[in-house]
Amino acid sequence: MLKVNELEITARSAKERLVKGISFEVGKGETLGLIGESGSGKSLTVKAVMGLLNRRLFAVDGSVLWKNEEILSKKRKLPKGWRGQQTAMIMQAPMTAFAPMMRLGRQIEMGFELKGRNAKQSFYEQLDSALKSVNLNDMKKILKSYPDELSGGMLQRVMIAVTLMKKPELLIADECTTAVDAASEYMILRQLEQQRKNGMSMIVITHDFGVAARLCDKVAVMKSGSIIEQGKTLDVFTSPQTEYTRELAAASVLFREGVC
Amino acid sequence: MIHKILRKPQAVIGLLMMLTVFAVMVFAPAFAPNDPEKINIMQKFAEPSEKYPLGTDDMGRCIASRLIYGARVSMSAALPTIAAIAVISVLLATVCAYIGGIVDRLFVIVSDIFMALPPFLVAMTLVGLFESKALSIVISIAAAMWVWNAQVVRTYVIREKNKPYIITCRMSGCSQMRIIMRHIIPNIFPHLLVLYSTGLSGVIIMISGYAFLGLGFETGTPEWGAMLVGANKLVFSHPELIVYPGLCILFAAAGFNLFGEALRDICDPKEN
Amino acid sequence: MLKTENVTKKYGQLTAVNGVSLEVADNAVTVIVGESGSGKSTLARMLSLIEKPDCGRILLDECETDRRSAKADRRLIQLVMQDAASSLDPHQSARQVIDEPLKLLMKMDKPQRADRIEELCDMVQFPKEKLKNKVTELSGGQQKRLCIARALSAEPKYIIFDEAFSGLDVTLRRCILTMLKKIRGELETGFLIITHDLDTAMFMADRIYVMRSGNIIETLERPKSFLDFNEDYSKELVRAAEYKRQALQI
Repeated sequence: MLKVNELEITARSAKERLVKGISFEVGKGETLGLIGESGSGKSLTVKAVMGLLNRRLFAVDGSVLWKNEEILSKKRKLPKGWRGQQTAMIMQAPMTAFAPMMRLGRQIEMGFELKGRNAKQSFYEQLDSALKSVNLNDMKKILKSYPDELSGGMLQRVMIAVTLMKKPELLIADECTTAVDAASEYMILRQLEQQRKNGMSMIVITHDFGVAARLCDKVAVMKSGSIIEQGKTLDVFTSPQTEYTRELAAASVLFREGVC
Repeated sequence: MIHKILRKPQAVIGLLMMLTVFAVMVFAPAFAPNDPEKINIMQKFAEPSEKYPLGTDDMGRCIASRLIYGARVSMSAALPTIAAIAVISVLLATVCAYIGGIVDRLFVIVSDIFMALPPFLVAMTLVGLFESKALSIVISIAAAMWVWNAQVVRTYVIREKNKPYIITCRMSGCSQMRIIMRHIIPNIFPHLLVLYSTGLSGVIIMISGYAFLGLGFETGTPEWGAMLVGANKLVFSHPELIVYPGLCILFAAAGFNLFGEALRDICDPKEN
Repeated sequence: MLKTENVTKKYGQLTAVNGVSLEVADNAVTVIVGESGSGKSTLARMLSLIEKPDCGRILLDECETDRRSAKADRRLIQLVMQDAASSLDPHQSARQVIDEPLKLLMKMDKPQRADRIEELCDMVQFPKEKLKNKVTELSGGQQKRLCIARALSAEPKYIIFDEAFSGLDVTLRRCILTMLKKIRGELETGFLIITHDLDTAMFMADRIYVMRSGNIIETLERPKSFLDFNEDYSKELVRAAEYKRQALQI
């Protein structure tokens, strides 16, 4: 469904290649994990795919094919409903993803074009069940509050619930559990796993092998701008080809019963 | 820092304008072709010539020399004024904001009272207090303006003291005094530089404004504001007499403003 | 022994910490686990004598801590905060950060300080050639190491880590945690680690306190397995931690 070919991203000011010709593919209903440390170029890659990179600051080369259509070329506009309906993205920091001066209810409503009372009512019913699925049971209170009144974990859960209501064909989750506490992480991961079962395509960015193992069909390990290993999750994890992947896998779980 | 300034055209232009003003101020006797106060009634309203580069005024005094010495008079009043404002506002605001509690509340109340009075009014009441004109100008403007600057400095300090690194400093055993002097002031220093370099242009204009109202230096003194007021009755017959000192004030104020704003852009953390 | 007795702290309507009594043992690792908003950080600030409790006492070696003793006690308890970048003064160089407590708390003279700084850099694996750099020019890992070196420099009896390992890359986290384990063994310091990550907790802990909405709900001595947890809430945390591990098949 999404095919990225020889993608290169260069910072214009520093003339530095940040992503060095990487290729990967996400099929329908498939989940790809992009794994690597901070600064390895994972976020830049997906931002380029989403068309979110400022072209005046970054030069983007290569091709990104979405359903066999090139979307990187400058002349053509991005497909209609590209962000939202076809693809959606969940960012790392939930606190900065919401506008701080607006109640959550209004912000969420803005993302959906609601006409008429019926549409509104059915929308709120849907929203209620979406929020309940991530263990947020008090919709009224959440919609009335400002972003800083909720914890990071709760905000991220709201984010996920709302994003999934649009039913995007491809979901990109950029380190979406790094900044939240363990219990919220659990709920978010479970929700994503549910979506995976429902046949949504996903790109999951993480530095945690545990998350990748749980969610991904295949993984690509990135280090300083290139993909150093790519394959089925289980293969990469059980028989890593590079020293770096081995390190990553070992570091993902600290405590082993009976060893400590 | 210096490297960044040199790369920014706005900063370089501002800096050059500032340096010009300072150079003229310091080397006024060398630049000035004539004695600025020498009256030559036979030569009044002379055309620009080799002896009088910009001509003479209604008393036959060399305009160019008066403008050059004017830089000296204006700046020698403006610099001590801004220094006094800086010392008072930084001292009061940092201490009050850092200690907080009742001291800070008191400070806010007092400064609110001062802010309710228009600065011009305060300055006008105080300007006659001292015999020396220069001293009374410095003191009256400082008394009128400190509170506006102190409020700004107070906000900077409060923002800084709520940052997590202050806790680290306390853990490292810093005393209150050391935190203020070694940690808070160095971190807000770029902001202060901007505040006072733009403030300086305001003070120059204010001093000239006093002279224009007849409160500052006597009309005879070669000072830009005083020259303006001296020329206002000749606005139709000899408009250049108003234009020259006006341009000088504009030049000095613009120089400090340009440099100050460029500095702010350079120091703005969002840009780094 | 660093000890709290019935410590309570309120912020307006909100009770952040509600009558908590706990002990931070000498020469051992104590861990407090809990979600965000459970009052862990408030407790950390009170234990490091930055804030005073509304009621209850904080005892350091059976002596009550108060304003007068705070200066001497400061050296004995050090705090490492979550975000390394914002907990370092941006205008200081790396050397100045470590130099300050050596000068103010340890009262060392100049050559002594230089030697000690080298020693500390070796201990936390901080590259010495970066000592003259401003702290903003360091990488996240180097900043974290610098924070730890700063805390160690005062030769404290207790170090409190307030979420100091969350948000780090897994490789870096493992690296720093193993390093800390080694250092702690050598220095015989008491560690109090505050975290929401059960994995980190189990890896380091001699004793675990589970905290929820201002209260301690469970205490575990030398836990060997996730099955040791008994309370419902703790089991929920365990389930969250296990969730990822199952997939890794360990």
